[in-house]
Amino acid sequence: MTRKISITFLLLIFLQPLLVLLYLSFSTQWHYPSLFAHPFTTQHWQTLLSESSALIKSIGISIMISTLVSFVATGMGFFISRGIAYYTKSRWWLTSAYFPYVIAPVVLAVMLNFYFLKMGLTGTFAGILLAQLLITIPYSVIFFHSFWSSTILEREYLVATLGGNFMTSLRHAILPSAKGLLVVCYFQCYLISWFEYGLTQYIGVGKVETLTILVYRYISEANPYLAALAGLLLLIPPLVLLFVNRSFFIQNVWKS
Amino acid sequence: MNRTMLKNTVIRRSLAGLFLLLCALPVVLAMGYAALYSVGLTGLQSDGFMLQHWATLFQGEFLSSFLYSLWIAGASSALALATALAALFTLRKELTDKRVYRMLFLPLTVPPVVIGFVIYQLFSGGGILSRVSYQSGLIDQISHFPEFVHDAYGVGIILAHLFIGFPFFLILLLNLYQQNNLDELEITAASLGAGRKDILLRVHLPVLLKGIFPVVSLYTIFFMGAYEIPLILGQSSPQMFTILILEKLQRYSLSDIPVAYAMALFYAIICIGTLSWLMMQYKKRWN
Amino acid sequence: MVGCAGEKSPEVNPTELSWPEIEQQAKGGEVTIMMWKGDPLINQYMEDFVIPTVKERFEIDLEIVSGQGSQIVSTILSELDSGQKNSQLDMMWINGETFYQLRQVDGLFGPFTSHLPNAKYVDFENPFIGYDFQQPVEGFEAPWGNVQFTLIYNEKMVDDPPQNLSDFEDWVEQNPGQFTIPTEFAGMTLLKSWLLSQNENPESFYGAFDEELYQAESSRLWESINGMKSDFWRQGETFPATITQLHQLFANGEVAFTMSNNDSEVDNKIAQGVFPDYSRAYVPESGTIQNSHYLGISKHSENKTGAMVVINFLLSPEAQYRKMIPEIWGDGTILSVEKLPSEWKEKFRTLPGRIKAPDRNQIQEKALMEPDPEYMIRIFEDFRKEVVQK
Repeated sequence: MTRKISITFLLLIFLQPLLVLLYLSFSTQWHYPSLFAHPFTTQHWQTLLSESSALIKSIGISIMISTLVSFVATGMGFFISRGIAYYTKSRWWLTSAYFPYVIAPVVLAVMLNFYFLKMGLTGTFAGILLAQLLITIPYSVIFFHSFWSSTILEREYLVATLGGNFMTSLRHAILPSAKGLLVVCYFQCYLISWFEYGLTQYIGVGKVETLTILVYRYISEANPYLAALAGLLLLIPPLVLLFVNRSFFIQNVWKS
Repeated sequence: MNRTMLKNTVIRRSLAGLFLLLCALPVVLAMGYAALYSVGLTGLQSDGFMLQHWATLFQGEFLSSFLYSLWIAGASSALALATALAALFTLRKELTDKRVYRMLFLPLTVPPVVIGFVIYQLFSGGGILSRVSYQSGLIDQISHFPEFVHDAYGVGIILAHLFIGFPFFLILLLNLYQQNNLDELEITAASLGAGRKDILLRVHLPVLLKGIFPVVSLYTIFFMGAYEIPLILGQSSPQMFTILILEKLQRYSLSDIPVAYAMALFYAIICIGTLSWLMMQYKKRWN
Repeated sequence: MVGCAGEKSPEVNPTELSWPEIEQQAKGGEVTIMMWKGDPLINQYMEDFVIPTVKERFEIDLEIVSGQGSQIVSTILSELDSGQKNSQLDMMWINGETFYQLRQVDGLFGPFTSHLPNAKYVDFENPFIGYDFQQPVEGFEAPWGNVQFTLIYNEKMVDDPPQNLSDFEDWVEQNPGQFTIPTEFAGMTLLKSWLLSQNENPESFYGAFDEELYQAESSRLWESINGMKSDFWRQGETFPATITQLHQLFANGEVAFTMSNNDSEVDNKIAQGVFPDYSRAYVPESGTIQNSHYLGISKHSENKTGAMVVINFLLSPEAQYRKMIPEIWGDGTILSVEKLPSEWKEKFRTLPGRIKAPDRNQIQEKALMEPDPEYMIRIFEDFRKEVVQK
C-alpha cells in the first residue's frame, strides 16, 4: 500500500511543474496570501492568440532553430563518430568530444564571442545555429560512439564482400539497427537546443528571441503569468516528442 | 583493393578534419582568446602582459564562489544518487512496470528555466507553499516562512537539481541492475546464506556504484557549471561561478573584464582536467 | 540620396545632411535600440506607441533588445575589441556612468543633438539636463526624460517615514527584517543620495571625482549600513539582485520599503495593480538625486540616420507628453515648457496630477545633482565588498 502511495507521490512531484504553470497562467493579481481568492482569467491565453504576439514569433524561431540544429547535429555526429570508432585508436579522440559538451554553454559563448564578432555572426540566426551546433555535435558524437561496435563493422564487411558500396551498407547493415538511436539522438539534441538560454542570449545579443529567452524576460519583468504561459509552451514539443517516441526510449535509451 | 584503401584514407582524413574543426578547434580557440585577454595581451584596455588578474582569482569572492559551486554540485549529485538508490531498493518491482518506468522520463522534458521558475513560485517567501502555510495557520507572518530560495545553502538550487538528477539516475540504475543480472546474483547469494542487508551492501551496491560513477561525475561537473537555475534562485554572495563570470564581464568596472576571462579559462581547465582524469580511470571501457 | 537605408553609407556623415535628407535616407530601415526592459509599462509605451508610430510615419522598423547600462558597454566594448566596424546596436538608453564609459572607449557617435529639429524645445540650460553625472553632454547623447529618486513605503507598516540616514538607522533597528537595498541602479542611487547628504555639504561632491573625499565619506556610509545590516531583510545575508524583485517583496508585504528612480512610479504601479493602494512615495528631507536619462547612438551603427529620426521623434512634444501621463509611464519631460508652441504648453500644464507620488515642484528643492560617474562605479563595487560579502 505504501508503495502505491510512494509511486503516486513521485508522479505528483514529476507533474508539479505542469500544474504550477497551469495554475499561474490562468491567474492574475496574485497577491499574498491568496491561493484561490484571486481572480482567474483567460486573458493571458488570449494575448497568445493576438497577432502581434511575441510568443508566437518566438515559438517559430525556436522551432526552426531546434529542428535545424538537431537534424544537422544528429547526422554529422553519426558519421563523425563512425570515423572515430573505426579509424582511430586513441581514446583521446572521444575524450576531446566531451570538452565542448561539458563546459557550461554560456562560458563557451563568452570565450568564443570574439570570433563570432569577427565573423559578423553575433545577433544573427546563423550565429545561433553555429553556436548551438558547437555543443550538440559533440554530444551526438559521444552518443553514437558505442553504436559502432564490432557487430556493425562485421556487417559492413559482409556487405563489402558481397559487392555492396557504402550506400548499400547504410541501407542494409547500418540503418536498420540505428533507426531507434537516431531518433533518440535527434530528440536529445532538440532538447539541448530548445532549452538553451545562456549561450543563445549572449551570442544573440537578445536579438534572436527564442521561447526560452522570452520566458526569462517575463520572469525578470515579474510577470509570472506570462512566464508560466510561455513555460507551458516550452514544455509542449518535448512532451510531444517523448510521447511519439516512447517505444524507442524504453528500448534504446541505455545503449549509450 | 587499392582504390578502396585510397578512398578510406580520404574519408578518414576528412572525417578527422571535420571532427577537429567542429569539436576540438572551438575549444582551443576559446581558451586561447581567454588566455590572451586574461594576461593583458589583447583587448581594448590591455596594458601588456600581467599576471595580476590571475592572482586575484584565488582570493576573496572568487574563491568563495568556487567553493560554493563545488558545494552545490556535490550536494546535488549526492542527494540525487542517494534518493535514486533508495527508490531502487524499495520500489524496484513497481518501477519495472512499463507505465511506471515511463513516468520517469517526464522530468527530462522540463527545461532548467522552468524548474527554476516553478521552484521559485513554490518555495519563495511569497510563493505557493508559503501561502498554504499561512492559510493553514502554520505561520502567521510572511517573514516566518523558512528560506529556501536566495539562501546561503542553495537549497532551492539543490532541489531543482534533484528534480533533474533523481529520475535520470534512477533510470540508469534500473538499467544497470538488469544488465548486470543482479536478480540472479541475489538469488545465488541468498542461497549461500547471505542476509538481505548483506546482499544490498556487498553485491548490489558496488556493482551499481561502479557502473554509475562516470555519469554521476559528469553530472557533478554539469551542476558546477549551472547557470540558468542559479540565475533565478541564487543569492547575492557567494554566487555560482558561471554567474560571477558573467557579472564580472558585464559590470560597471571595465577592469574586471580580464578577470572574467581568467575565471572562464580556469573553469574550462578544471572541466577538461577532471574529464581527462576520469577517462584515464576508465581505460578498459574504450577497447 | 534615396538608396536602401539599411545599407551603410560610410562616406557621408549624417550630420552633414539636411534633415529632410536624413529622414529620406532613414526610410525603410531598421533601427536596433538596446534598453532596459524590466518595466512592463515602459515596454508597452515602446511597443504599443513608439514602434507602430515610427513605422507608420517614417517607415522605420524599430527593434528593441534588452540590456542595461553595463551590458551595453560590454557589448560595444567587445565589438571594438574585435575591430568590428558595424555595431549590432544603433541606439541605446543610457545614463551617467554608461555615458562615461562609452566616451572613454569612444563608442558614441556625435555630436548630433543640435541637428535634431526637436532639440530646440529641449531645456539644455537646466543643469539637471545639460549635464549627465557632472559631464557636459556636448551633443553626444540626447536627453529623454527627467526623474527624481523616491522612496516608496507601505502606509500600514510605516507611521513616520524616515527623513535621513540616521532616521533610517533608528527605524530599521525598531522594525527588523522590513528593509533592504537592491544591488543595482536604484539601490546605488539611494546609497549615493545618502553619501551626499550625510554631511551638510553635498556640493563638495560636485565636480571631478575626489578620492580622499570618497574614502572618508564612504567609510562612514559603510559603517552606518553595516550597523543596520543585521536588521535588514533576511538579516542582510542576501540582497535582491533586481529592482523588480524588491518591488515584488514590497507588493507581498515582505518589506515595508521599495524605491524608484522614477518619482511617479508609485502611481503607475498602483494603476497596474502591482502595488497595493496604501503605498505612498516621498523624498526624504535630506534630499535625493534627480537626474535625466538619455539616448545615444553607437559609433559604428549602420543606421545613424534612422536612429536620429527615432530619437527626434522621442523628443517631440507628442511623445514626451504621452510619456508623462502617469498611467502610461509618468516620466518627467526634458522639454522646456516655455519653449513649446502654445497648444502644447497648455497640455503640459494641465497634465493629470499625481495621486500618491510627491508633487514635482516640492521635491525639486530637495534635488541633489548626480555626482561624477566614478562615484557610482566605486559605490557599486564597494557595496559588494564592504557590505554584501562581509
